[in-house]
Amino acid sequence: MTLSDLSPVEVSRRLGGGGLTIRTGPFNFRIVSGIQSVAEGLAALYSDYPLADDHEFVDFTVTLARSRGLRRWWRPQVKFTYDGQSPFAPLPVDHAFPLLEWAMNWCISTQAHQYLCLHAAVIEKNGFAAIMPAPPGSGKSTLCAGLVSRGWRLLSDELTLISLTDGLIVPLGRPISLKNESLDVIRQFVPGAVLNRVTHDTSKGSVSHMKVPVSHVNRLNDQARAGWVIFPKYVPDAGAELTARSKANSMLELGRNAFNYTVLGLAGFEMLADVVSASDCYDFTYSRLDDAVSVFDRLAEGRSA
Amino acid sequence: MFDAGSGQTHQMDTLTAATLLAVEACAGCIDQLVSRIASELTVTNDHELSNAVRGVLERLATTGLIESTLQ
Repeated sequence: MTLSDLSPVEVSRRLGGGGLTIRTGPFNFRIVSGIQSVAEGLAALYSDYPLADDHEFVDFTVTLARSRGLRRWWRPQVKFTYDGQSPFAPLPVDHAFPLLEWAMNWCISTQAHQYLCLHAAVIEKNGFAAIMPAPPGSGKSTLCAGLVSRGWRLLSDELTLISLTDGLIVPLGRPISLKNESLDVIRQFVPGAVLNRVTHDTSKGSVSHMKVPVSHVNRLNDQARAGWVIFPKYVPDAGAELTARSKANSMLELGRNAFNYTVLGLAGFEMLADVVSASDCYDFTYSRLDDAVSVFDRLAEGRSA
Repeated sequence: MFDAGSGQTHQMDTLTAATLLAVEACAGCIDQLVSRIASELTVTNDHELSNAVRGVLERLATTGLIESTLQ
């Protein structure tokens, strides 16, 4: 059963009651919220995701509730709670859906230590994954959204999960976070893209999320091996260009972009070394998505599973 | 290189890595280490190499990766 099998009324009923449990990659999230924009966002972006059965283990229970007291009426706020903790400050209630996405990322990055967890987008073609770590504003998610709409499979736009058991990259497959100028860039580049309503004035500016193609959601169990580590950077008017990068430096930079590298200690080091050893490492500058897609496609043609 | 004691990861050039490996293999006097490193890297065992290795040893000691037994 997927979320689309439920009526909007049933989605809201579950969210407002015991919770709606959605499977995203290896995790079951139970989401509890009586806020309408959360229900609308889930219906718009998660309609193809499987719902977990009642007997299945729930990895994370995420609650988004309106703040109490005066805040119920005056500039109402939303508060994220996980296991009785509220790790984030309350936000304006119309930020509830992006807060849900950020909260889900927080749950995974702070607790899923069975994976080496990198702050990086990751996409796949021909069985090989391109890991793309980059700081905010580098065009990582825009590039990711563009590639996903041109034949690359989304594993994750934000969290790269590398299994400590076998080194394979585990898809998470959640909606792609877009903000500010990238919203119009993607609307033009992917005319059929489904984006939920834009939330303005967040800490990241105006944000929205792009729905993942159903064919990608249906492959959330298909893992991939690392093929490339690519550090992307959007540079206005630049051509799409790959520049080889040393593996040692790439490994250090990946470590800096990991959420739990130091937590994992030697196991994290050895896994990161394996990933980098198996990957071709590059810096990548681009300005036009079409050019970027061509460069990535040539990379994929050079390797096959 | 991962230092299990501190949890730190270190990026090393070839000479530093060779020096650390040489110390691990046979801690001893400077001349022995330099000779071993020269052989390992197939470079000339000369005064310049000896000075470079001394500098590397100081840096390795500063980071806590090796310990001098000289009092």
